[in-house]
Amino acid sequence: MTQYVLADLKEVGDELARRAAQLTDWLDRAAAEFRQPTESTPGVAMGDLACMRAMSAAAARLSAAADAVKACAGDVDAVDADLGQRIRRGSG
Amino acid sequence: MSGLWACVTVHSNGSVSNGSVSNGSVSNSSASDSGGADSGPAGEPWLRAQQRWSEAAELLRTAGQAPMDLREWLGSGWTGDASDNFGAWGRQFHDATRRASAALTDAAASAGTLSTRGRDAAQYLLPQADLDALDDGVRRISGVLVPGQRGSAPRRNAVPHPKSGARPGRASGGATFPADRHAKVQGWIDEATEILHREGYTDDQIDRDAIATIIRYESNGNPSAVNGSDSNAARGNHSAGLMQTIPPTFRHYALPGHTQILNPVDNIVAGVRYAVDRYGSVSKVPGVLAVAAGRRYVGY
Repeated sequence: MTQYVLADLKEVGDELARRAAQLTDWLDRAAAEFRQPTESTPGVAMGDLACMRAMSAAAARLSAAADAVKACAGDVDAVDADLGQRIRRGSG
Repeated sequence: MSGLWACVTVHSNGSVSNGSVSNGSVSNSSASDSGGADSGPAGEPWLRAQQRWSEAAELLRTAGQAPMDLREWLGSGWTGDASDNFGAWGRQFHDATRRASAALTDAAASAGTLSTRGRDAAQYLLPQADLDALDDGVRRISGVLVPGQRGSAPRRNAVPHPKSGARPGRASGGATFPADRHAKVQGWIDEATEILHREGYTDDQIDRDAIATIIRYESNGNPSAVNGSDSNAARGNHSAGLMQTIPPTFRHYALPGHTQILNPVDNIVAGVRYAVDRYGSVSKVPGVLAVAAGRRYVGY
């Protein structure tokens, strides 16, 4: 059961990291577009900045969540290893 | 697990549909794709903004749904405090991103309306209600604590962790960046210092190692970094870009032709000019001196 949950957790962490990377990729491409001199109207700049803040905040949260889930997976792994050792000692 | 996710494609007209994307990223739409009757060959800024914001809204929506889908997919296989924390976080994150996504969709719709009104600059203003809704969405996202996190908001100048699997690269000097950003940051510093040399700045004033250190601690080499949580942000001035300059400072120190705050080279140029003006050289920025002395970096 532990191994089953562990594998799931690792996938959850990876998937959250992939989602964070998607948002970061969008941010990179949007930043590149700012090189365009036509993007100078104040309304566009205000909207873009607000949009980028939203994306940046979401990417940061997803990335942190991915790290937290992966840490949780690490904890499960450690507990699993410890349990295995105890069982071996008890049966040895 | 891959079958769990609906990938999205944003079309050139700003509409979004489900589809299969091999690398999991949303398809890119070039500026020239957005041409409409009134757009011209270079693309109308509002139409391009409409397209960009629509794409962002869909990405936010799917990203916000992801933790909920994951929790559902895990079902009863994952129990305990960590599971409960993740579930609670997922619901809050979903709600926050849904609001921000809806606000972006509304802003995109407003942009579409404005683009048909003509070219009077006074008409190029987004409704304040749209901006307020976006601001509310961002605040909600930033306010969602990550699973297992208790209490405080993100620290100012906290150095983001590199993505897992990314090996740190080393820019000139001691500053390290995620490997996928190393070469880019190096190139941006090269380009910026070249521009500054042409403006009469000396090597002593614009030491590349010191610039790399500032970038490392301010943005971790992310040219799109926007700070929504510090005291400047509370006053409406969001630090942005590689050097995390606030818009008024950026505008004051930007050079002609280098006026885009999220352009990495433009951001370095303005940030360095500010640092030289205030401290005499980037090597004398307090944070750079602190790091050199083995202490914690402080903002400039």
